[in-house]
Amino acid sequence: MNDRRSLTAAARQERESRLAALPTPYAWMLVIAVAYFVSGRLSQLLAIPPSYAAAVWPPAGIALAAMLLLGPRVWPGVFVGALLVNGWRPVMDAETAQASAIALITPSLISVAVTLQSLLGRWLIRRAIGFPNPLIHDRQILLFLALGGPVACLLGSTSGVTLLTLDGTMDERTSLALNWWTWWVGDVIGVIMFTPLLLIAFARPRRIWRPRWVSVGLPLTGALIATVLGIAITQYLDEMRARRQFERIAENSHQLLQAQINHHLDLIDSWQRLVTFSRLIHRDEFAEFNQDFFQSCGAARMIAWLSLEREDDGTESLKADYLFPAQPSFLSLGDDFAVNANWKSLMQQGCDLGYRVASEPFVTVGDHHEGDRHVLVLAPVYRRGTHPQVVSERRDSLRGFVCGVFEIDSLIRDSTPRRDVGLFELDIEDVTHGETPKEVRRIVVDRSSSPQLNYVHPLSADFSVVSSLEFSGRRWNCRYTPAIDFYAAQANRIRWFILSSCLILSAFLGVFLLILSGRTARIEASKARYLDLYENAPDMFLSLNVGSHRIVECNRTFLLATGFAKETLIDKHMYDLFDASCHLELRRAFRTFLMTGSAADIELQLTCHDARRLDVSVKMSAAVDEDGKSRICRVALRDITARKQVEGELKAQERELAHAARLSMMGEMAAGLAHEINQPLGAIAAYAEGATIRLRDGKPDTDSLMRVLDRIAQDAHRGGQVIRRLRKFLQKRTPEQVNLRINDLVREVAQFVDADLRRREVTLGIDLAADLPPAHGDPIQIQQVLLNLIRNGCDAMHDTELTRRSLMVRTRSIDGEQVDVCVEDCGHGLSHSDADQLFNAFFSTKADGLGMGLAISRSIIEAHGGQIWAASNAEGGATFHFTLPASAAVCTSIGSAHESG
Amino acid sequence: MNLAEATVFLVDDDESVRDALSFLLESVGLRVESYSSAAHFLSTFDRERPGCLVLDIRMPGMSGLSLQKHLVDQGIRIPVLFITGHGDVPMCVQAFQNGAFAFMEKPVNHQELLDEIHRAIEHDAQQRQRKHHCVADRIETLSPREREVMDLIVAGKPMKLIATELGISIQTCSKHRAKVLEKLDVSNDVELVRLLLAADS
Repeated sequence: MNDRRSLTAAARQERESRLAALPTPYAWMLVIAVAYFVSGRLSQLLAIPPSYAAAVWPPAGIALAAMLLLGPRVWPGVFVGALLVNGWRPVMDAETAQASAIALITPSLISVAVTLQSLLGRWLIRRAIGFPNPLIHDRQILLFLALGGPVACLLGSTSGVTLLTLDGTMDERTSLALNWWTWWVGDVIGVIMFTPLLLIAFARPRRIWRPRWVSVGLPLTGALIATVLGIAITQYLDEMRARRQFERIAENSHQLLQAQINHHLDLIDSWQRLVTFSRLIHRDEFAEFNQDFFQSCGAARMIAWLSLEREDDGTESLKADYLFPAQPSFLSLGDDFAVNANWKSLMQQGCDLGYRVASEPFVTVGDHHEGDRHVLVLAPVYRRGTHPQVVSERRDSLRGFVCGVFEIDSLIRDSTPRRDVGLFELDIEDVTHGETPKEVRRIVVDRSSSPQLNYVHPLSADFSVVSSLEFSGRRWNCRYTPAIDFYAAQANRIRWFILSSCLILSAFLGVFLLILSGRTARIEASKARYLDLYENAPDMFLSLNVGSHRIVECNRTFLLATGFAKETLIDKHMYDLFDASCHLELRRAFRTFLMTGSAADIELQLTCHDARRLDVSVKMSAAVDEDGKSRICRVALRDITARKQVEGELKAQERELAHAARLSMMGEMAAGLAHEINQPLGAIAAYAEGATIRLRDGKPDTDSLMRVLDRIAQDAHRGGQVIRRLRKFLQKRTPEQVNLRINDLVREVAQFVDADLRRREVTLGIDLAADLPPAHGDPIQIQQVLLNLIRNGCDAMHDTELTRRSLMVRTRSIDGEQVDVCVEDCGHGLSHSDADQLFNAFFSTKADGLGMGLAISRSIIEAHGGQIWAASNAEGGATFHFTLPASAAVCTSIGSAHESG
Repeated sequence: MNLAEATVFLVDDDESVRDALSFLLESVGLRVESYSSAAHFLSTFDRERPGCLVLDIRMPGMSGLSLQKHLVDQGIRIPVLFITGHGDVPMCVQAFQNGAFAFMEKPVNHQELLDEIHRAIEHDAQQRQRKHHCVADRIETLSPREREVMDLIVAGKPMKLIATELGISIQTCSKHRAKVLEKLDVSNDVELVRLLLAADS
């Protein structure tokens, strides 16, 4: 628990120090807000009309990544970014500041939801898998993407759609389910694709995340582009289809509109002809005639015959002779022509042209459809029998006008097929005679009020169809624009399918790539771990090519210890690394390795870069190269220089001790040795004096004198030999390793102790095996051991009666492999307890013994690879044995090595 | 007594010492017989030969002191000169208690040695002379009866026979014999015979 707390504390500290090094949180908030806004605006381009949500919504991923990387305190950045994106259009559309403020309410609430969504994602992820997390374990990756994506995004999409619906921006016709689904899928894809990308870019440890640029970042970016392109292309294709469909609708409606207008004009034309050729028409007939037409055609508002009254003063006025239906708003129609300049000019125009003319749309007063626009058509009627060809004739022969009025809205409504109702909006512009386009009105053929369209697809900017309509000298441009219901009708299953596919694709890809890279990272981590172990192991490692004996690989420890640079070391020959003195050993070890596949405990001397020598213990084992073909010899080297040095010091001390022991032994034997020297000296003196006497007495006997001189020389030699032997024995020197003939050593020692033994009245028996193999070692040290054992035997027999004081030295061969030497005494023997500690230092059974003799003997024998022990004899006394390995085997192997070398 | 007939018996296990001393002694005209061991010496030694014994104390087998003791026990009074490489006080004391003539430590001053040897030979000769006289004197002190018994003992007759021959009881005869041995200062019949033989010569 404590650990965890301290760990998180450390992590927090690390994060804070990282933040301190980078821009301040405020700067980060700004960056996040800008990134959120820009990416949001871009992705809004992908929104599918009439949907409110984008199919890929990177800001969700950016927000989550920011929360994870920088902590919850950067929430204002997310909030501001969301507010900008969501509030942009409403604020732009609003006209007043007050309206802007009201328009910002819903976006603010949505931004709160979006911010909470990212905080929820962060909380869930930290709770489930902890963060910072390198995301290298499959389960953690799955949890990370599931919790940050699908689960957390439920909050944003649900709240967003609910708020927009309450707000009225969305209604049921824009398919709530699709909007919710689009929103949610957009957020999820945004998280699954963008959060990993941002983590790759910024998350720690960089060692884990950076390599994922290639393995995750690139494919994910590619998939993102593919998703965007897929959505865009599908939308484009779908839009083309929708456009074609709409064009058909518009064309159809336009044709029907034209037909309707023509129908009205036909009525006026037939009245014009009738009025021209028939003098008397009864008012009732007129009404009856029109009754049917007006019933069948709802747009027709009025039809009338306006006759021209010419006063005497030359003024002209129009009088409505017949009027159907007799509505109040049209009763004063004739007067209107007199006063309204527009109409007057229209009348004049009709008269002059001799054709039908239509008015600009106008609004009637007191009509039951307030605000409806109407068009008035005048058809001129001339006097019967006249066929005026020029303007003056026409003016003279003008009788009046047939006048018709129809209402445009009803006309359009009537002309629209029932199935197309509500699918488009129609804008009509009057462009007669190149006048400034004048909007007639926007005619929405719709069942209710139109919802706002906040987002317009870039490709659908010119979705509307413009067709021109001409009649009676007027020219209208009709612009058909798709209505919300048209878009709603396009929300088909293909889009659901596309969105679902994108979601599944991106989710699978994200999960797959992260898991893959996580595994790679795990492998890398384990590789790094083992590489670290290898490089920094306490032992040195080398890899050799078995065939060429050249170095293939080595670890850092080796380089540090030897001072070589790796480049110079690789491909170096194995033998160049070791001191020439141990090449033989190395060759032998390598042969063992080749035969058995391993070799161990070889002690060699390594030559360093600066020519230093390192004592190393070498172990070889077989391995196979990465290519599985060439064989590799793995060499582990342990630096044992320090141990060797200690061993050397120890050996030196042992040498010192052995020397001291020899000195003390010689001291004890001094009397005997003096006797040994005195003997020949005395003899020499006697000879000399004898010879002197003989010469003086004048009876020299040449032969005997010659003999005596010879003896003198012999004795002098004998005395000298004793001294030589003594000196040799006492010399302080490094032990040599030579072949030992143990029997010779025994004999020499026997001579050496002869005087001493005689003094102690001990007889020494020698029983030497003839077939004794040679041993290997230092002769002086072995003699020292022998001498020590013999003298110990003598000491043990101190209290033995004189006649039984005998000592026996035997040598024998044990199976030709070992040389066994035993010294048998007839002394007091060994007690059981003594036998155990006999060879321990400072243990002695003698009153004046120091207890070092046998301890030194043991260290000498063991250093020679032998053993030393003692046993009691059955008939009293004790026997001391020591063995030495026969050097036959060693000699052979050295010899053969030499041959091979 | 002829000095030239006296022999210096030299017992030393060291061949070269033995040889060198022989050479030296022979140089001054002494007769020398050398032995490598006490046993060898004893096997050939004739107690009647005059001279002196030069002994090494430490020798393998029987040591010099043992040999001296043995000789004393045998009643052989030949002067003994000890030469030793490593003598100590107890040895010296023992040697002199057993009647050693001289005790010399190596390295030996050879002049001194020669002097001692000469003195020893002199001493031996005088001792033999004195002993000879002494035996005759002692025989004088014997009673006639004792003289008879002595003669019969020397003739090799057993006690029973002697008693019968002299017509006395065995007890009396034994008393006479004890007296004879006491007066002539010998311990048994063999010594008695030897003493008389020596005196005769």
